[in-house]
Amino acid sequence: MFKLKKLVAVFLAITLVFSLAACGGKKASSEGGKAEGELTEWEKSSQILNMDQTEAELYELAKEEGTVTLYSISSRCTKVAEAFMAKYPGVECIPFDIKHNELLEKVTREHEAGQNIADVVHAKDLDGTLYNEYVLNKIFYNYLPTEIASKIDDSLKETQTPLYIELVQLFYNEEANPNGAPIKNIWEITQPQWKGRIMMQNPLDDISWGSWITGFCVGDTPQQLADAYKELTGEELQLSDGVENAGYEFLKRLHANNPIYASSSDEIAEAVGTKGQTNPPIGFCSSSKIRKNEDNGWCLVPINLIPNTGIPAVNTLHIVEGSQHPNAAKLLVRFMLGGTDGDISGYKPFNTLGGWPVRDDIEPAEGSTPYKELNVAGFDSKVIYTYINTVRDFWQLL
Amino acid sequence: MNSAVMPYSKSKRLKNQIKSIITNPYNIIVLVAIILLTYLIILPLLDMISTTFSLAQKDLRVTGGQAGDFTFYYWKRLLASELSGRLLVQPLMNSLLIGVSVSVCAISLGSVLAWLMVRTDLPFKPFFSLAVIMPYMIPSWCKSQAWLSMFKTERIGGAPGFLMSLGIDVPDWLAYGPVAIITVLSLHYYAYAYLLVSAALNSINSELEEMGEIQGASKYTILRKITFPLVMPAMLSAVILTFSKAIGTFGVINYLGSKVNFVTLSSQLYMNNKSQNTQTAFAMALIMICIASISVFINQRLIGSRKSFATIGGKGGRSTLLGLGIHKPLITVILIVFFAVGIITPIAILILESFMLKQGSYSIANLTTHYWIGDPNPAIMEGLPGIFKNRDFINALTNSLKLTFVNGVFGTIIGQIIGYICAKGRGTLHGRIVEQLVFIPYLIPSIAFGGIFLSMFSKSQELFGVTLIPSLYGTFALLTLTSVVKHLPFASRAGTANMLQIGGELEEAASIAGAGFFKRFIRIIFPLSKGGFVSGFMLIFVSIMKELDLIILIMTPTTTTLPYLAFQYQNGNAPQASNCVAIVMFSIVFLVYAIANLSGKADLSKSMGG
Repeated sequence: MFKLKKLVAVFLAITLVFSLAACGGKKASSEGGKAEGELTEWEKSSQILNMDQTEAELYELAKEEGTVTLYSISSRCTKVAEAFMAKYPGVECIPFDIKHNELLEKVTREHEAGQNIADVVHAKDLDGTLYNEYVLNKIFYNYLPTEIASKIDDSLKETQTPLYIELVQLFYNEEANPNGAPIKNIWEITQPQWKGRIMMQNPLDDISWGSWITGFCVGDTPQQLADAYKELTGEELQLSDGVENAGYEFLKRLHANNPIYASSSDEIAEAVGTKGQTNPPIGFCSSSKIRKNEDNGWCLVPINLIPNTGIPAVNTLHIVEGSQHPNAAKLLVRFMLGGTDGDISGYKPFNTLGGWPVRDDIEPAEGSTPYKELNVAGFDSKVIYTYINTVRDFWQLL
Repeated sequence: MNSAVMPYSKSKRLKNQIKSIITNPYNIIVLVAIILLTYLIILPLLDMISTTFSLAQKDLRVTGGQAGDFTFYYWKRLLASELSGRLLVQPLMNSLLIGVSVSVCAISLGSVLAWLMVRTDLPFKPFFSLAVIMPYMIPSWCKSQAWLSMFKTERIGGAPGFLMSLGIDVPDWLAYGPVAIITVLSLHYYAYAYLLVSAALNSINSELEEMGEIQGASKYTILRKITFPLVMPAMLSAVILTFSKAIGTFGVINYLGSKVNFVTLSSQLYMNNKSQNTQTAFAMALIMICIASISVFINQRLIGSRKSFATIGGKGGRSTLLGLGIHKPLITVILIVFFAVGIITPIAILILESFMLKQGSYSIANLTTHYWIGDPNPAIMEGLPGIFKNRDFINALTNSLKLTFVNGVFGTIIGQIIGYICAKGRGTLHGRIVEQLVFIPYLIPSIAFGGIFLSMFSKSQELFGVTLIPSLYGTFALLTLTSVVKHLPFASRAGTANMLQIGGELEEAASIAGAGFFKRFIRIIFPLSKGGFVSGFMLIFVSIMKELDLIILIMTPTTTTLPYLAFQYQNGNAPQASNCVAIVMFSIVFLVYAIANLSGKADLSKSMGG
């Protein structure tokens, strides 16, 4: 018995010591000069707030740094890296393709520990988390050179450095609908004939789908939805008990129409677009899937919904605080944004069907519908950030 | 006189006791093990618990206050709010349904297979014994894909399922949801029951059964009254492994359940994690850990004091096989069909798809070797070369081999040492502490575990200003450490089983002859346990080869592995290349297993018993 007691005592003591050591470590990392108004050491040394450095200037400095690491949510980052190294010999670009959630988890933990592996992050700020929690807390920096900023619409660059735009679009099977889109108005998917025939991802599944349903309930969209309802049925929309606006009402009716959840956008594209079906479903998925039409022998066609297809998914670029290669990072951001010398090899991998450039001087891919002709909801990441939890909970309770 | 001697002898006795404790290497090893396990397992768990009580910045928009404040918000939301039903109760019921059903099916299937393989005169045993382990090596998503290819209905669109294309009407309840999930998971996890039960059966001396036969008992009575009670402990162990695995998995559940909106606690956890509700996700993980702990507790109660039967007597055991008689051809055919459908089909589909230029087009003209050995072609896979001509693949292959072999070796050694402690310390407090501790990593979700280890070891660990461990981030050491700890439950199970087989009298004899602890370990324990060592290695090897969630946070862009590459191809519109990588992974595992198995050194089933 004596032996055991001793063992337990030692064991507890050690646990305590180690937990204390661990706590001590945590506090230290959250400190570090972040006084308001004054520039931090890193902000000074990296000149991260200087948007006027030229490409040649940055290249010279980048060569001294030698390498830059890009964490990206797109598999196309490998092509970007190849193009970058071809254009800027002497600077190695290391791409890392990783899912959005894991990217943030990894970068956050690395940053907390002062281990800066990632220099540049390519992600999406659909729900405003990146702006509200990363940019405002000076973990991420939105680097957007003046020369390029002038070519981008103001509404896109307020809280972020935009790279390109994707959408969640409703697709149908062209083979089974030779006369064109089976529906035009978004309210049609709440009608009985589409019960159990609409595919989408569970909005609770991840943050981008959560943001997408939130988009219907905020800003001008609820009013537009109410108008569209009247246009379709000729009657005023009657809100159910306890439902705040037409956006929530739409979600409620969509949910009641028993949509089928798939586990990925690819699955939806395949389900809708596969040829040889007699009664194919329609489905919401990422606009970028249209790229795969040819490769996979699909016949996906997007519908330009009335009043709109929801909020756009803007891809964004960020430079991570404490980066050891700030100049190479800035050079890479410039390159990915399409540069200023007319060589857009860094932008090309993203400029495909189903993706739209944010710059007014870059033409979208051949065959794209011009972005201006598409019905897309207004997007304010700050508003989405405020309401996303409410809307997610609303959906959860349906 | 007496009163003067008493205190003296008491303190001397105490001194001697302390001396013997300190100088006994076994105690020191136990102490070191407990300290390390506490550090590597309890700390991450505490970190998870404290996270669920700490307000995240992202929730300030709802709750107000300061980030990091102590809060009951997450637990209240989960346990006592209008959301509880949807967020917790319903998914929990579904989890229990899946966990219990899968356990029942998988244990029955695994036990019957084990019994057929070990105790009967089934033909083609060498083939069957190799085939029966294969489900453990095929990723479970391959099986759920195969399930859908077979049973898919019009409900979810796309190419028709095989049965539907034959004109057979498949009901939705069969194609998606609980029935589909239970079937697929049972076909995946029966391997645990098979391994455990066949190990137990192997150690039964058939004289026990023959005695029953002499007494005039029928075959059924012998099975029920003698064989079954003897393998009961092994079956209950299998229940724990299967049950906690089944409630913890989400891939199959998400894939087959989402179509009919069937969610379990694990898929809720995964969704919350992906929506950055880390605190809620952790709270759910903790609830799952509690459920699994209860199942461990019930299990211990059921087994009670009869933890194991001494089935290996002093004299040589022998085993007489039971004749299957007239049922033999029928059973053989059923087994062959079972393996063809359950194992060969998913692998065959995988291989076929890797040779198809375009997905879904089953014509000869569509076959190609491009994804294996093709040169870059801008029209295919956005110009990526076939995997064997791709530098990334060679790099990932090298990393994966390095990781699995190094981890296999380290994990096994540590597993054997912990197994030694568990085996020798059975019934004592320290034995139980160690046994409980090593089980915990099994239940912490991989991604949470990886993230916490990343944070812990990105900074150098200091104690009173002395650097104990330098920052390990980006090193191979951290990958190894994380994988080893996460796979300790397997490794130590294998180790315990192995060490239990070695009779204590051997060590005692050596001790009397004057051999010290280390000499005993090196000269007696280790040589005797070599076979089990290789088996333990195989278990970890297979598991780490498939691992992605755990290490994706810890690997750096230059230390990627094969599962990562498979994910990347899948993500980048090249599922065929992803299949190629999966086939390579499977081939490596199978090759290593076959070599180990054929050379007679290892048998997975021998390493899981006890």
